[in-house]
Amino acid sequence: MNLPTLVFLGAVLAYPVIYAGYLSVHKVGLAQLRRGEFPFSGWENYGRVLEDPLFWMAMKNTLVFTAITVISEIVLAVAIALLINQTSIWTSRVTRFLILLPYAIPPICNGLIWSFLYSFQLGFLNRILFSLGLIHDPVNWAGNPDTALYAVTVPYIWRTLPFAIILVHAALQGIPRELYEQAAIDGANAWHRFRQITLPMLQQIIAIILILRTAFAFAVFEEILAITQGGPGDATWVAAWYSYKITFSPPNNFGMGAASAFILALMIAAIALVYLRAVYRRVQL
Amino acid sequence: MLWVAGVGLEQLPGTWYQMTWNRGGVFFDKQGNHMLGAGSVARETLKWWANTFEKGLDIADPESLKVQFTSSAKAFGAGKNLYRGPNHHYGLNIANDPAQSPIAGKVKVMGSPGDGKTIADAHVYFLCTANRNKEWAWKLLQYLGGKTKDGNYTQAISLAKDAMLGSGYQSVMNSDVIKTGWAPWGDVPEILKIWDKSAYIAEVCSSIYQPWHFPWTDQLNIEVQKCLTGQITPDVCCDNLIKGIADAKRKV
Repeated sequence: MNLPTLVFLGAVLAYPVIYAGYLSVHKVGLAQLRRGEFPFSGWENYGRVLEDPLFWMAMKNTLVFTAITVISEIVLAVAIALLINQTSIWTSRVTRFLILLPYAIPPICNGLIWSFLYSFQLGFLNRILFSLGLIHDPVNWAGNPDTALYAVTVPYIWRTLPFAIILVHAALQGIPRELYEQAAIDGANAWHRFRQITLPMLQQIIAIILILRTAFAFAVFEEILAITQGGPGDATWVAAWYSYKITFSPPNNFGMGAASAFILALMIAAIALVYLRAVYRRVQL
Repeated sequence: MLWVAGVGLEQLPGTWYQMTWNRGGVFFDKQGNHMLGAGSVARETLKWWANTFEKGLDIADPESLKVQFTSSAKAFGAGKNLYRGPNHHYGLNIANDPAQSPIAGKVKVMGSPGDGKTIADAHVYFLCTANRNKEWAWKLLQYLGGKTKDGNYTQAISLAKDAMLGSGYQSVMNSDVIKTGWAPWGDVPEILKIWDKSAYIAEVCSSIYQPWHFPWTDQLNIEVQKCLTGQITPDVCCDNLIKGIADAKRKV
């Protein structure tokens, strides 16, 4: 019964991963592709990636990007989900649709939209801030090395936040009403109810969001491609951009690109493991 | 002023190459030795270029560092800048197109300063010999890079007409396709004069023939953007690029 599924998953998921692993331990560039022979190179590609200062710069930027986006997403998702979960607050289907809308925007389109918003002289963002009197000169959001990385976090959060809202909202609806009623009888105020009931009951879903969003944020690419292309300078070089450039820019070092992608995957797996252990230790306590 | 200085193989590096060549400098000599040391034309050009940004003359549009060929022409069409350059791929067909630009008809093309020295590059098509059908491969190659059965440079002519791309074939450049086809977008004799003064990009940067040129160009994009945004000085930028040559050679 499961065989077709396994074959399909093997073809579309396992094969590319295994083949990338194969490439990562072989010398694969344009010359090797032309000859059709990939000499075995052992750990050489991994060593070259780990020795490259640009890789570590990209990792640092990735960690900053991930920390900002994941923390912001969780805080905002819990806040918005709590809001739309309130029976006293009426939300129309249109409102709910609009909340979900950003998730339906293709990432590359999202990046292009925000690159227009961020435009130095013609962007809507500067126009709004200028009209409100908050700025007197246009701000170069995506072109200034001090603000560029933070500037690309906003479109990313905007696009991916609905996913987290859906999960938190679903989890909120699973919390028994009786718990809140009993807590209210005991005199617990709104903050105490949130702190003692809602948050512990959301712990597992938050762990899932943490793992998923961390994994995806680590692999951010489209917004970087559309808005900054890694610039200015190396201010927004992130791990996936590094792998892309190594692989698809001349001299097209596919082996090293695959090695960098595997290092990234291992890092994500390690972080996911830490999350899981931390969450389940708390649940056991 | 809007520099064409977005990250890429041709945009930001090309702008620096062009200005350096125009001032009489090169990046590598014929023997492959770098020409980026103290007092070099490339280094002095970078100092001048960096000075056009906000910490110096403050005349360069910061958007310059994000725009590629087409996007820079479209941004220039908004009418907020006095100058766009160097004039990569012309862009006149966008900036002077009423359908795409509010300032259409007002954009003039000018040659480079001094004796007008500039650079150009021509792209060639090639196909691998290991084709299943060599006859069709040969036909495709002829269509893309040569003459079709009717004796015309069909692809070169359509690229010139549709995208205002110059051709490596002198007969195409001298033809009515250019004289009449480009006339709505700019002063054709002036453009052809610029074309005649252009040297191949490898004259300025001979490393283009080396496999390490590309990883080195990646570093060049990063270092020069850092320089133009005031994170490092032009001297540090050039010193880093000199060191980067050895690193790039190791990467290939």
